Amino acid sequence: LETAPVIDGLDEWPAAPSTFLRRRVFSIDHKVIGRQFLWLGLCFLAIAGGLAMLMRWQVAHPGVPVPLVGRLLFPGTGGVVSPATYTALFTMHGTIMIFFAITPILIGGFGNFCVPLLIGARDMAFPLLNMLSFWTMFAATAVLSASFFAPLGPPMSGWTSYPTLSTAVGSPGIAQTMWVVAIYLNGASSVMGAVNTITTVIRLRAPGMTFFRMPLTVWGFWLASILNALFVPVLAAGAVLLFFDRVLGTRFFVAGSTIKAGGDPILYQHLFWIFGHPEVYILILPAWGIASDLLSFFARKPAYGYKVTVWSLIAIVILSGVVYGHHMFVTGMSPMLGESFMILTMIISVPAVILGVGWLGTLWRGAIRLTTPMLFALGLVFVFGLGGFTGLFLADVLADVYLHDTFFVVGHFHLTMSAAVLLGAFAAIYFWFPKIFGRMLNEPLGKLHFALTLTTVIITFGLQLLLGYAGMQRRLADPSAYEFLRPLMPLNRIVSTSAFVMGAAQMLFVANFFYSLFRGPPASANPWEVGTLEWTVPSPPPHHNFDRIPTVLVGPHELGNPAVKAKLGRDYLAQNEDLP
Amino acid sequence: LMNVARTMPPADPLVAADPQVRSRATSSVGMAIALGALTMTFAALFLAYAIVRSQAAAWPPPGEAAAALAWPWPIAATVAALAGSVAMRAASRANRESAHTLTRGAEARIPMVPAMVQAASTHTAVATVPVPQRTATTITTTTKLKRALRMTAAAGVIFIGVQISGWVGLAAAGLRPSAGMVVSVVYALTLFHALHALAALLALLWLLRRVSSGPLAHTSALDVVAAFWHFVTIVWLVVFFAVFVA
Repeated sequence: LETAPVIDGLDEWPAAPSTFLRRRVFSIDHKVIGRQFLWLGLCFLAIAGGLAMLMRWQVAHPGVPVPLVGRLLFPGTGGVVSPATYTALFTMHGTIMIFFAITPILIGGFGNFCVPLLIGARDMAFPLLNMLSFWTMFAATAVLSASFFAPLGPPMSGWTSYPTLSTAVGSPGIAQTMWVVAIYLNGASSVMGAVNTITTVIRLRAPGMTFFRMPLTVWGFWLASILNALFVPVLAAGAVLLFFDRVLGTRFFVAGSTIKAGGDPILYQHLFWIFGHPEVYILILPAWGIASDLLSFFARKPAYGYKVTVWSLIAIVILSGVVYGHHMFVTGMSPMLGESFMILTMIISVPAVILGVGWLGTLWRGAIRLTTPMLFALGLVFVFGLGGFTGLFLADVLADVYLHDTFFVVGHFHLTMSAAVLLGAFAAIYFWFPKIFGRMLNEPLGKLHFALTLTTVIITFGLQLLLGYAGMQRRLADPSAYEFLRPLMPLNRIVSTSAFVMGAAQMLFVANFFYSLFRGPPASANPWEVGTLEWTVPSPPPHHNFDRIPTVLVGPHELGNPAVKAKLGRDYLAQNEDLP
Repeated sequence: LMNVARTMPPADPLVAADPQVRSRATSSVGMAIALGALTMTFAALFLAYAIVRSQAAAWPPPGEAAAALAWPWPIAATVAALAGSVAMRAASRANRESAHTLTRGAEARIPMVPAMVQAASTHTAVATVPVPQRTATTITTTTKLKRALRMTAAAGVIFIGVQISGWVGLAAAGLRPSAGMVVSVVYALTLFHALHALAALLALLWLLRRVSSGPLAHTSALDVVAAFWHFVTIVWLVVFFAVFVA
């Protein structure tokens, strides 16, 4: 293969476009596209969060009209969340949170913004594809949003959309078909982004930026992109067959009978979970990478066991592809196969614990600065630990047969791939906001946001573990209808109250975000005093990122080095900086 | 300097963005990853087919006609797909020859976007790279390239036409997608594959337009389209053998 000459300087880089459309809307600049993804993701985070509030109201106070917004949203029932509405709520909550909130914020937003800046490149490898990726995602969100208003109601077969619920018989009407189309478009957008990120990291690293000098954030995004490129296409295949089943009348997921041959509803579950389990790592890997960097930055010392951390991440990526069966223990899987999946799943805890040891080792005897991003990174470590340990119970076939489809599962995956990932996303927002928007967020308000969020996350999802252990199934519109669940209602009300406080606490973030966007103190180039490449350029970075492509000399965590302190009078060294 | 700048083609975002961006290796890496992703989709579809078929009592299942698996149109489609790939290989060969004679041109074409040339006041060397004259050799290779690409496109159009005639024929024989498992498999795999064949054809037409406006300054555009084209052919061969022959 020919390799391109690395041309330095600005002479070949196109100037920023002058029209509003090309600069702000149909931009091919990774920083603008990153911001677009961030805004889109935050909007849908708010929507999906709102849906969760409605659900929690119904579970805690079944049959009572929703205060304030109830009559506006559900005029037909006098403001009460009907069982059908409840089903639609949890379907859309899960779908939006996973595919249209967390993924756009972390991978779309920060992946786009950070990867080129952190490896010393001027843009992604394929800027036009990058733009296409955003607008494909936009089309997906448009289709999914429209499905709210479909004639027979929104999609109602859960975020997993298992047949037979999701077939034309189980879900008549166009809404479920729109869901399938939205998921396919969303997947296409993710794969375009993944192709771009993988290629960018392989091809566009600055001179001297070896793989083992990359910030762990970049490792997180790169590995998540590899999983994205490999496994999202499998979901796409499931979506295609479901689409054909619904629209053309093929029979892939329709069970056969003695009269007419058919396919197999369980087949969809295989296709879904071959994708679905790697997906949870697609969500958490960027957050892990970000937290690993932030812990080092704010403990003012190098990441403990950087290479071991990287190899653990790689091991997790490989293992994540061979454990999906643990989602299907109750489908009548052969015990031998179930046991294999159980053992493989439990093996994941080995690299996961190594990661945790690395994080604690990084903190050990560090000169810790408890800034807001650091607090959120610490919160991620704690919450992920909590959620991760509960995963061991679900990995075990016998325990899972009891816990399957209970609130234990809900609590577990909210702690790991929702709360932990969102805490990582907030860490990223508080950390890179100065670089993205050129202004500082308010620190005291951020710390209050953190304290309330962490407390309510632990109460809400921790107690959900308890509810599930006590036998409460998920997806019940009215648990009080079952006599054996009535004693759990007080616990349900605590969970809901905690969730409402969590929702309200996010208003602090919204206020902080918008106030700081316009009125926050201007950010210096390097407000956190760290050495990765994005902090060597102004905040926000110029259109071309770097006046000259930097030459990287050291790793990302050159912090607390006494030799540096003696010569430069500060405790960090930029990645492209040489000691005089 | 300004004269040179004005005669250059408008900025193509992919070409102009960065020398690294337009390099062959970068596009090849990107295309390889994209094809890997597509392979996963098709592999998952074939997995679904394998599971459905292995669970059936017999294949075709009792009560379903084997007519859907009759060979005439799949064989015609296979011939068209293979012919397209052969023609595409000829195009790649012509393109390599053309790229060889145009190497200097490839260097000269890129920096001539007006904004860049203006920004490069201290880099006068950029503007002084000689723009090569079109020689007799480059014209012949370009003609060869165009002819090969048109033949490839023709094969692609025939392929899609054969697929459509196949679906129409099935439907006319009363074999709609809902008729049974065999037709489900036939429709799903050929439809999804044909959509990718259509995408390959559109990419090829875009390439033909670029070739018509002047010789290709670099080979990566044709390389990636050719890779995608051959991929679609290979997937068709798998469909043909797995669904119609096996």
